Amino acid sequence: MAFLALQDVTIGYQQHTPIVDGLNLAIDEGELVSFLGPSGCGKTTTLRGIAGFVHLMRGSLTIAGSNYTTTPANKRNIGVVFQSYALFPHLSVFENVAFGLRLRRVNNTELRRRVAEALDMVGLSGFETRLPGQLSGGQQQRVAMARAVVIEPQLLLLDEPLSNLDAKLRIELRVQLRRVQKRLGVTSVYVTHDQEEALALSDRIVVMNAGSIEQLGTPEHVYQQPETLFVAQFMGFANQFAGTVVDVSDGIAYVDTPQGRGHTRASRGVCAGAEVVVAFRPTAAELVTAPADVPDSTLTIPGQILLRTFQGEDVNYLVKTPLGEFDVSVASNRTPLTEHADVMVCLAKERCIAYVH
Amino acid sequence: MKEARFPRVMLVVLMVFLLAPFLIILIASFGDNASLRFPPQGFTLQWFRDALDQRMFVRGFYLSVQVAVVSTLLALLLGVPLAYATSRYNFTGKRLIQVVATLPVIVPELVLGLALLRYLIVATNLPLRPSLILGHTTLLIPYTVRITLASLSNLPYDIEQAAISLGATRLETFFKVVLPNIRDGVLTSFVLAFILSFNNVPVSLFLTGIGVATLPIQMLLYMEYNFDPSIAALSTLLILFSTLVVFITERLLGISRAFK
Amino acid sequence: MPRWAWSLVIPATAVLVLAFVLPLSLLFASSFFAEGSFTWASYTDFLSSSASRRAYFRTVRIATLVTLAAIALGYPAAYAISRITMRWRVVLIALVILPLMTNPVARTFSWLVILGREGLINNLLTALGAQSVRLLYTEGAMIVGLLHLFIPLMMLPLISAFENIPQDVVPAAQSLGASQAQIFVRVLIPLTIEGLTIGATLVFTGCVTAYVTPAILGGSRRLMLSTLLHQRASTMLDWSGATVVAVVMFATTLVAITIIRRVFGVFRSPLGLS
Repeated sequence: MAFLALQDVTIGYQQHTPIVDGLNLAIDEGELVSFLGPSGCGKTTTLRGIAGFVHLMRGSLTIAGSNYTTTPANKRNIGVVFQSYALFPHLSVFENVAFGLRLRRVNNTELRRRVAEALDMVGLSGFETRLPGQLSGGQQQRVAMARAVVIEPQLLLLDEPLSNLDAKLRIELRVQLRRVQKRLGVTSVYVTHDQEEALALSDRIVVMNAGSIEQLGTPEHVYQQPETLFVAQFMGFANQFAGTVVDVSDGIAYVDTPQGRGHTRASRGVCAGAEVVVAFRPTAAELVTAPADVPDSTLTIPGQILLRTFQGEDVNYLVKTPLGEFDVSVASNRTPLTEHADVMVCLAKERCIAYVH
Repeated sequence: MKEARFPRVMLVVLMVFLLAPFLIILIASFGDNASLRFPPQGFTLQWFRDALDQRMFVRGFYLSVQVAVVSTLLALLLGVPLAYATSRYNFTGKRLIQVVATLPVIVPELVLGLALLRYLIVATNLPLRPSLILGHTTLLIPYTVRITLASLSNLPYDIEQAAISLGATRLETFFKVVLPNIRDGVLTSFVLAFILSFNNVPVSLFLTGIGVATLPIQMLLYMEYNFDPSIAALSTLLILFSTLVVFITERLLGISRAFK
Repeated sequence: MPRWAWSLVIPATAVLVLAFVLPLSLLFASSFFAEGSFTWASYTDFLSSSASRRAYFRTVRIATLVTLAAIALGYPAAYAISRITMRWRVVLIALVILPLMTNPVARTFSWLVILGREGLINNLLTALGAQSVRLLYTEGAMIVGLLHLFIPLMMLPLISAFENIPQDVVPAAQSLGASQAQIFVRVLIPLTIEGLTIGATLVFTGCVTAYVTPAILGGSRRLMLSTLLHQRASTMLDWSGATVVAVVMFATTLVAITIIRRVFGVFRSPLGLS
């Protein structure tokens, strides 16, 4: 049985324009599930619905077998970490973390012990007397985390907790966050728009778009087998072109384009005669100058290099082709190609996916 | 940019213009003559004693304080919740209520005083003291609302949501999280409102009667028939009092920010 | 908004309606009725009374002069204050606020001492051998008194406006070749026009509605709308007369606010474009 279950959940601020419509989701105990998607897709709204900050217009919310649909937000025993940390500015770090415990009338010795433990877990022992205004962003984030977990919540909700931090700090704290979550075994929902973060942290990912779920799966699955064009684009399939399907069998489609024909993977719903969009990652294409070097059975598109950008480990080429401009990333130790050179963009069938248009 | 001289000169002129009269009244209140003149001759504290002895001034003072305290507290009790609701929620009629809540600043106080006299006192027979308090409270509400709103806008709503997620009820959230963080704004509006009420003339002018007159009104009445330094002495005391209040609250609360 | 939250809104609204909106509406309405029927009579009486007309024009005249004087004195002074280092600036601002926090009777009284027959100015004149001049109960006295009362209201928005000018705007204009005068007209004025509008509005409407200063420094010989109102209401017990004055006073402030907005709006951009 799922630990957290959302059934037919609809949330909105105005009657006829719900932000989340008919959402169904089941999360197992101890899992960390990410809600991944662009701004406005409904991931934060769903999170707030679980927390109880907004009412469900329709549907139900079940946690550990009990119905929480109409339970007030302050009675749900759910820990929340906000994007802005939302620390109490007038209270010390100690009092911030102790806040929930004091409300629960935990006795003093027990309270001190638990606060000390929580601060230790996030690496902030010794910071008890500081005020939030005296802390750096990363430190505030950790206090927010300690405050949310010290109450031993049945569920932990994190609303883009790292997006206000710089890149290096984000990666550092990401690791720490996951460690704490695993150690406590607390079921968690993590909202983010950062694909990399979701891949690194989650047991499973829910990709959302315009109020509904596009795909639910493990990070590996979502990364390698995006089920819709939206998910593919979100997971880095930056290039696409149009084509028509000649034939499909066994998940492989034979696609016809004005520049040539070739095989691609086929997503669900692709059938013969369908108009499709074929998507592929910048790292998925090979650039070849001599026609003789074109690998067998690849979809090949002729083009010309527009721009060459050195990125360290890789070199990025902007290639102009009759099917569109493509972003191709090649290891920098390969023979460099010059701007205006003619090339062939070669796509192996496993590296590109066709989606119904 | 080289500091232009003209603005600085004007600044000096302005400051002298603003503050010299206070100095002059201070000096005049020590004068020996029965009738007010400047420069005064002699030195005496007699007028201070006189001012403090006058029954009408003492009674006026107590009434002014009483009205100011009650009106200010009422304005806070009414205004702070309204500010909170305006800051955190949307509701039907919100815009209209916001406009109504700021109107008392635009309407001439004299007009309000007349209206209250005609329709609260004369028409409904409401006694003077409650009418006075009601009138002052109405004048003060825009200030308590505006200053509290400014403080609330600096306190993000998710801090309250954090408290709620940790188990706090609405009331607990207000007293343990919201109030401590808007404390400065509330105190500033308290001081400002108190002073506005204490110094008010136009509304108190109409809502006055036998035995019920605030200090400024008493002073006006006295001045109709008398022109001696006791008013100067009283004015000096009041000015010193205001100076004290302004500097203390500026130190503690940075009251100048409230006027931005 | 949750149901219970109405309890936050209703008390304040109720008080405002009962003690403000209602009485004012009734007052306004009553000026159009005499003995139960709609009439313009009270207004025509107002217009035909020379005392009323004199008071009205005196009020507008004085308010305009005070506002102009406040701008002339206050604008450069506010500029100077905004250029002073923070530490002293705070002290100066507190000193500017101080008069606002002081009893208006006390403030106006000090001008009696300065302008009276045996006051500072006259004693100075006699000491120099000149004749003593009657300064009290003149329009000049009222102008000075009102200026003293209201100039802080011009200063505060202006100081705020000057402080809000981005740090590098003036050096940028200089680097582009602007002279002092050009900077003043093309940069400073447009950027502070908002504060100037607020200040002018506050000063003008303040002068139209002030009571203490006209009462003490103008007396019953030089009536302004406010003293006229009080005279009608308290001394003559002429309710309808007083009410008309009240409505005229309010209307004047509203018209003034609109006109000031318009006039100053022209200066928003030096070429008159918005």
